[in-house]
Amino acid sequence: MLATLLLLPVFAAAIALARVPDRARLQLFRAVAFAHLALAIGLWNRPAEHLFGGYIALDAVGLLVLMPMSALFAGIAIYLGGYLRRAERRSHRIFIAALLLLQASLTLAAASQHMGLFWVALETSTLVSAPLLYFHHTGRALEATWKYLIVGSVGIALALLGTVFLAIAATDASGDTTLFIRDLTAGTVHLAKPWLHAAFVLLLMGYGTKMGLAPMHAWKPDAYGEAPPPVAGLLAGTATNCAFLGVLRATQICAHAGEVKFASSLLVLLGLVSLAVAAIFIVGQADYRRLLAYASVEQMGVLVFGLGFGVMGAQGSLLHVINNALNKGILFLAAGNLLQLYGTSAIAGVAGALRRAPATGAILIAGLFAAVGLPPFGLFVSEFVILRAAIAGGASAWPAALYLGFLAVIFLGMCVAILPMAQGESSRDEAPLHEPASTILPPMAFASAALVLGIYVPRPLAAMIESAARQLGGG
Amino acid sequence: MHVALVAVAGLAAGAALPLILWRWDRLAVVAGATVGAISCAAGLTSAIRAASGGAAAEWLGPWSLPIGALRLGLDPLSAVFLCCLFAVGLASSIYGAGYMLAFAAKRRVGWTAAALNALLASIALVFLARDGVLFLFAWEGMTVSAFLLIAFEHEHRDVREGALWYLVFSHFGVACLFAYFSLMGSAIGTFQIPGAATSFPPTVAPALLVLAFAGFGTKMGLAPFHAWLPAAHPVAPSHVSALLSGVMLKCGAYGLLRTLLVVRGVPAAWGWTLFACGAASAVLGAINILAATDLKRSLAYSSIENVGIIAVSLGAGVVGLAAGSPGVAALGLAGALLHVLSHSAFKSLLFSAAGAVLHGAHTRRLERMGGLLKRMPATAAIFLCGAAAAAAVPGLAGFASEFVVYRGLFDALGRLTPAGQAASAAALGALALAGGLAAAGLARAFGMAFSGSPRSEQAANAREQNAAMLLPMAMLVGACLALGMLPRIALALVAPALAQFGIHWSLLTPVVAQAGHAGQLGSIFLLVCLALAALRDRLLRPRPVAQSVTWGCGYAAPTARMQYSAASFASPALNVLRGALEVRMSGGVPQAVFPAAVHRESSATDRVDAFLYRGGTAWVSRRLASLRRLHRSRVQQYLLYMFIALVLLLSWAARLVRQ
Amino acid sequence: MTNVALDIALILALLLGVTSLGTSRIGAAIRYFWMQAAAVAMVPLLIETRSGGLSVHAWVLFAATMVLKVWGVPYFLNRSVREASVRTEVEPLIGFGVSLMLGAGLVGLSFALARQLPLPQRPASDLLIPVAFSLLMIGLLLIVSRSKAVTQVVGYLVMENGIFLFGLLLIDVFPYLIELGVLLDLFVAVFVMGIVIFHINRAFDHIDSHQLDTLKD
Repeated sequence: MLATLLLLPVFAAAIALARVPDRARLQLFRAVAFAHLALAIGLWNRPAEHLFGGYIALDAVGLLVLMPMSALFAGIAIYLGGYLRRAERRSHRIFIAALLLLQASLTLAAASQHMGLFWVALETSTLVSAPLLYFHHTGRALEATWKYLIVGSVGIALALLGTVFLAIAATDASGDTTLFIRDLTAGTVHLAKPWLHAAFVLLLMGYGTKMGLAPMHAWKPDAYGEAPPPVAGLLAGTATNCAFLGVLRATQICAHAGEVKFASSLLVLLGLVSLAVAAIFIVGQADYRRLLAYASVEQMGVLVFGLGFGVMGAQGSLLHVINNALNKGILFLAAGNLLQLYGTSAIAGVAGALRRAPATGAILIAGLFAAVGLPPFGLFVSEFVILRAAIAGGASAWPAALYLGFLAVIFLGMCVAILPMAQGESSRDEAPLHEPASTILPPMAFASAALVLGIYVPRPLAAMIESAARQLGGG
Repeated sequence: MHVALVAVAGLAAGAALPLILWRWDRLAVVAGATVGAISCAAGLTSAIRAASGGAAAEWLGPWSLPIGALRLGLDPLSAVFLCCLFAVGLASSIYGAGYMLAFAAKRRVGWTAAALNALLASIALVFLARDGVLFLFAWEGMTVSAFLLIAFEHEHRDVREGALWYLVFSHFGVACLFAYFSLMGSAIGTFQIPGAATSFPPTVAPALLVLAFAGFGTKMGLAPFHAWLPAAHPVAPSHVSALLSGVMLKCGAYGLLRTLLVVRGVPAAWGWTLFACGAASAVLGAINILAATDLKRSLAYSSIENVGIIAVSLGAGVVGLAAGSPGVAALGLAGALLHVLSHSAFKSLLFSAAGAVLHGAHTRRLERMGGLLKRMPATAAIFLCGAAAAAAVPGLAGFASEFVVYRGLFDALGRLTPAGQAASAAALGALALAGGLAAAGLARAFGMAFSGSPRSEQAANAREQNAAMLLPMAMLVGACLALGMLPRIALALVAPALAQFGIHWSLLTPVVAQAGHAGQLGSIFLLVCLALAALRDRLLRPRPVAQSVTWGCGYAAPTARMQYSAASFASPALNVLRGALEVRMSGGVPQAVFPAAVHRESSATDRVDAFLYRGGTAWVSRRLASLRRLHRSRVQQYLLYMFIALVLLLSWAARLVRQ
Repeated sequence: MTNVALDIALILALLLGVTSLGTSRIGAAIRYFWMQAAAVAMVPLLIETRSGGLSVHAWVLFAATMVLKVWGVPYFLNRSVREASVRTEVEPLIGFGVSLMLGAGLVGLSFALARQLPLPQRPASDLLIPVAFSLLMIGLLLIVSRSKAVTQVVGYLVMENGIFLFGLLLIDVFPYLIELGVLLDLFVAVFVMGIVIFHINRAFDHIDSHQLDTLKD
């Protein structure tokens, strides 16, 4: 079953690259995305399955990353129908194939039990997303793609170095080493401290680049600001979560080596820097796609900040992983609709969405409330759990206070930017638009899911999060 | 307890129903309002029983989130506030249906009934929650649903701005409350809100009190956190304004009182802070009642004034408790609770009446009203009753509660330390000043809106509103009269809540009895006056009445716009109080011997708002903009930052190893 | 004997790295890179001969590096430079002299850093870790200080060479699969970058990443 999950998108990508009509390619992607989702749900209650001598297996943390990813792919597969129909004519051959390969590589990343394999999977995902970013073939998209590639490659190279350092740290007297996560966290391998520390810094910086943590975030507004919004949403909701998985694994290893304090202080620091940068750039932002990119920087900051506060913080972060994916699904898809309706991504160019396109307007408002963590959306719960962990576990009150302060500034910035887009009179006097279902239903579904998660966390999910958080907490 | 739970469940269902009936817009409004009104009526009976009965009950429901619990409780304190909520909620549900149906031809209105019920349900949950997380859920639910309602007419710029200010300030407040409940939760190990006074570590307790003051003070609209209130309340649909002013502000007072119950050993300094901010709010609010040229804005400032009175009284109560002076504590807390009740009644009445005026005359600006007395007599009578109650005319709600507040302060004059006495004296002076200004301001509002002749065509064509809007206002008039004539009823309602603070009601009976007597005497006097006026009217009826234009000093073409205006009315007082206001004049000045037509307008905002918030946000955004310039779009720069971060983090890690 | 050869290969790699900081032509920078890659490719063989007996693993690694880095990547880069008809100057953001001075400083820093990280076992050569660090830093410096897209790719490749040297500390124990995956990924990365450079050329007429700064807040 796990093998099917991994190989299905790869085969489908091969088919998409062959000579088939574009419509068939899209339908193929939809079929694969839903099959993937069904398989992922099917794996939920199964005992862990191992492939390739234990290189590949889905543990609790992996499943928690995989599930929302699969759901996001399915939603965006539906959405792309309406989006591509309204976009300019262009062959979808490379685009669909790259989407499928992205899905394959991210699935592999979620299921890797080996730090080296994880790196390979994540690097592959970076490379296959380049053609996705460049889909519209504009000069600006090209610039964004180039920046994404070069910054992402350098970052991922640092992660590779970190992986190597980790292996060096794990070398025992006979010269043997391992990069299997279960070995590194079993407590049987002695890890040399200086190498471990350096490895953690490098892994954090490397995967942090892919996540978009400040100060490695600068590619993000460029890339998300120029990519087709559904692609940006996909990357912001899935690839970043997978990169976070890398940081999570590194933290897990550190925690089991008795270096929780070291890891925590770095995580908290980078989390706060990311929140600060996001706050600075969200206030006064003039472009709504870049705004969403900075909102993603914020969410990543919250993720690592939470990870720095023990089991409870990790619990909050894991819940946040799911919420983040759903959230990106809502906001970027709404942004896609606005971009196609108004033809601009300038905030000043969009007004009265509630009047002109009531459904998209309502989704935008819901997405805004979900993103700034207003209940009853799920983000409120995860951000609050993290705050609670920060206050309970922190030696000083500063991190919690700064966290609250930055979130408040971001709240202000987001509201000031997005509310005028939804409210007010539309700049063009037209009757309310009836939008195609394929561009409305997926974000609505994500919004409902985010809403449900804010008032009801299903028992299996809660149990899974708890066991995953314990796994991370250092025993 | 169970009836209250059923009421909340009913409100929740009432929030879902209009969305189910999405297709039938008008039906959705009516159905939502009906369910809401019935739930509120049921809740009101339960709340009154719980408030006067004095028993406390708890209920634990199913909950699946990793933190918090669905723990609800009903004690007398909650019940007092629930009385306000359900009473005002009942009136605004009915009123809201009438109010909103007027918009149904132009836009979708069904969802507003859903949002209103959601707002009512979440406020009820705020009062019922016995768990910090649940409390925050309800609190934010209240913020969101209120925001949606405030932004109802979002095509107007001032509506958008008001709604945004509201949201931003609410978030500042709730950020404090996040910290408050997290801190409390980590100190006692659970998010359950303790039922009894709890000792917190000496580092935690002051932080809790500061956070409670900022968080709840913002919701109350206490100066200096009040700037959102005059922006948001005027622009909301009027039944929502009524609910916001009448009930939602009281959530802040509720939170402060709950904190007083939960935290053991609240120091007198906390009380003095409330005291000072309350006095400042009262004066600031009162000045602006007189200065505002927008009817609803004027009423919003009146809310700030009244919230100030509540805070002063509450502060006196806290000081009394801390100083071990039960008399001061009793009068202070009782004054606060009683004024909560009466302000709920008269302010929701005033906002509802203002809504009727708005619907009739299609403007909120006093300078464009006038002559509505003849066109909307019922509304005029109702507004007059509300304004009289707000100005503390004997026999009406405001008088009885303010009587207790003043008595408390006089009591404090006699019993506290010299510094405390001086403060009480100052507060008495401030309240007296505020009371005078507020009375003048309300008189001005009534005079400009209802007497004279219409200043605009819309005002001339105003019509009386329908029964759905008049009936709930009549109910509120009844409440104002009952609270004013029979303050013993109100005392019976709040006595068990006061007992929770260790205050026996017998300390209060004499004062309340005096208030009652004064009210009754006053009202007898008023009735006699009214009877005399009626008699005169009757006697003069046979005589012919001739109508002619007012003598215009010989000017040949007098118009309605030459009447004494709202700004002229306020001008003498405002000239004295110029320091507190920022008066801006816009438009041209008539010049030359035969001047061309010019438009000239004056507007006043209070300085705290103008300087602290609007100035402050502008300053912060300039600073942030200069920080943003650090970001150039060169990819080399992106990588350089990474490089620097790498070197810094590695060297930091190396230093950690060496330690 | 092999010890000396190993040291010579490492020093050669280091010197080529420093030289590429001082070069003004793109062609030369690419040439220095592949020569450096060849020197680095020799290292696994030399390490293994030192401990006696060459394993298949070392040969595979050698062959893969030679094919992908010494032949494949430079071929591809040269092609995209030629097709893009790039002017051949490197166009540094800071002068060559300053670059060289900075490079020397970074090499010194690398030697200092290497001393902070004691290995559980003595490596094949004492120069291995310092040289690896140096290449990493020089690569980063190249990326940050050069404005042309192609030169940035070269910098990235130099950096990868440094990481490769670190990997050689683990030559006996690293799984094939992962190693090959890493190499392949690197190659594909350069391939994709080459394609993007080609598009940049078509869109902007030149591959000076000076032009690539239109995206602003």
